[in-house]
Amino acid sequence: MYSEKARQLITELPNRGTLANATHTSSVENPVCGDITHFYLRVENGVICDCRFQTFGCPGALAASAAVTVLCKGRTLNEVQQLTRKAILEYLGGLPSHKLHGVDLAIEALRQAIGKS
Amino acid sequence: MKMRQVYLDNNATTPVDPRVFEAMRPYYVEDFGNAASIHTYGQKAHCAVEDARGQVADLIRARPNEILFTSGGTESDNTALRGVAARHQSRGNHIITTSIEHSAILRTCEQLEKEGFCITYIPVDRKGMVRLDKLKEAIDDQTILISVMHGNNEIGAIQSIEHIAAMARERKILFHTDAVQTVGKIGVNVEELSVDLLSLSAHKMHGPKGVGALYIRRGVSMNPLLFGGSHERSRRAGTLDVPGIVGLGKACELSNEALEAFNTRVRALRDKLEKGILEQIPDTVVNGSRTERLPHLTNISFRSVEGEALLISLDFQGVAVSTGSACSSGTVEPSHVLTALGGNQKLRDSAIRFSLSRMNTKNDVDYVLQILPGIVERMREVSPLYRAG
Repeated sequence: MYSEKARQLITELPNRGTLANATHTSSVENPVCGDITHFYLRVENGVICDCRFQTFGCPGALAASAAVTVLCKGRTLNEVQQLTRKAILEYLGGLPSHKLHGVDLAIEALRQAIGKS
Repeated sequence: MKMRQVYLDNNATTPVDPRVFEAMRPYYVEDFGNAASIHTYGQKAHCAVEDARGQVADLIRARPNEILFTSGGTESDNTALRGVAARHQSRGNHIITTSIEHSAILRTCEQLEKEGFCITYIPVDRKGMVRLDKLKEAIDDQTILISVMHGNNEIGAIQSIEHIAAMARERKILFHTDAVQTVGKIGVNVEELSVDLLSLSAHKMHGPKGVGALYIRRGVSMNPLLFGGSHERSRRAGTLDVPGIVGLGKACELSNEALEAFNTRVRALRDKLEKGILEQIPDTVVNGSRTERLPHLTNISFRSVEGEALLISLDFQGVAVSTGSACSSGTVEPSHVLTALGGNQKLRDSAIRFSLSRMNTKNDVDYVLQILPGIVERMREVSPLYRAG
């Protein structure tokens, strides 16, 4: 079962779409299940002012990607570098055990985005 | 306000008809006898089982003594394949089936391969129809059994069973069909289809789970799957599930009465749903044949939308559907049926199966058509693969 928070994120898909003036982007694919995540960040003075995502993937991947964008907005690059799998899962109120790979995909997409400008 | 609930996953299972449940009820508490006992308790149970056997036989136009009760479609399929293989292996070791069968057939065939049998899997065309030319080519002197499903559980393709059965008969090869998805939904007549063995299941037609039957044409010899007591004329050992069998019988009777309505009313609902989706939502495509198929289901791909994400989003709004085969949900294996049709892999991963029953209403279809376009639009906004137009 999905938590109330995960249900809300999957239903509303906050921060979905692209960002025309993104300063940092990433594109990550899970070669096993075929899930794809793109992140678009606008960073000003080391702070993530805006963050959007696009994901083709299972509900777990959608929930995790959306959660990461919510958690990143307004934080510094240094802060989000510390964002852990545990913190994302706590925010989500957990995910079904067979959906945890969605969190790994979101973290990888975030790390790839902030690793290059 | 309570959210509306719409169940459109009737190929996975159906709700038990209250009349079926009422028919079963006495056989749990009052008339609980073992159908093999000779006292009154037992004889009451025995009579109920024989009445049910007649109801099942009536639905498929068989004789009652050609009906073997089982624990469901999977056991019926296993019994047919393994029973024939064991009995007829001295004549040959070759079995022919298709690439779109239910896993109850495919996994049993894989096991038979390990035991020394040769299995040929016949491909299907883009519409999901079995390649009859390939099937004819595959038959050889070692072939002892051909098994081809009647109606496919994922796309609903209905195969030309009488044609294939005639090919088998001409070569004196036994023919089995898995008719779990067709019995009770379209007219199934074992004489017209000319099959030797046919599997059916109660829970696909508003009966209980855990009970089914195998039709075995009179004169067909095969080994039992289960050994033990002499139940079912020594063809299937094990105390009979009397309430379940009564439920199967009642479900067959009710489905028999409702066949015509199913073919008109449920077909009209399916058509309304399918037409509405195709008209209201761009970049959608129906998978499989739109003519040679079951009247109650449609399998539609929503381009650039991940199937499971769409399924869960619908579920959050009270609508139950399926991606691929419902029995395979939770695995990362792609649908073997859609894979067999060929075509684009991402489109395959975007497929949703809507399967209706006689319990669905026009309001159910209207509700889905009201909420689905918005969900798909949101899903496409989030999809890195979608480009409109």
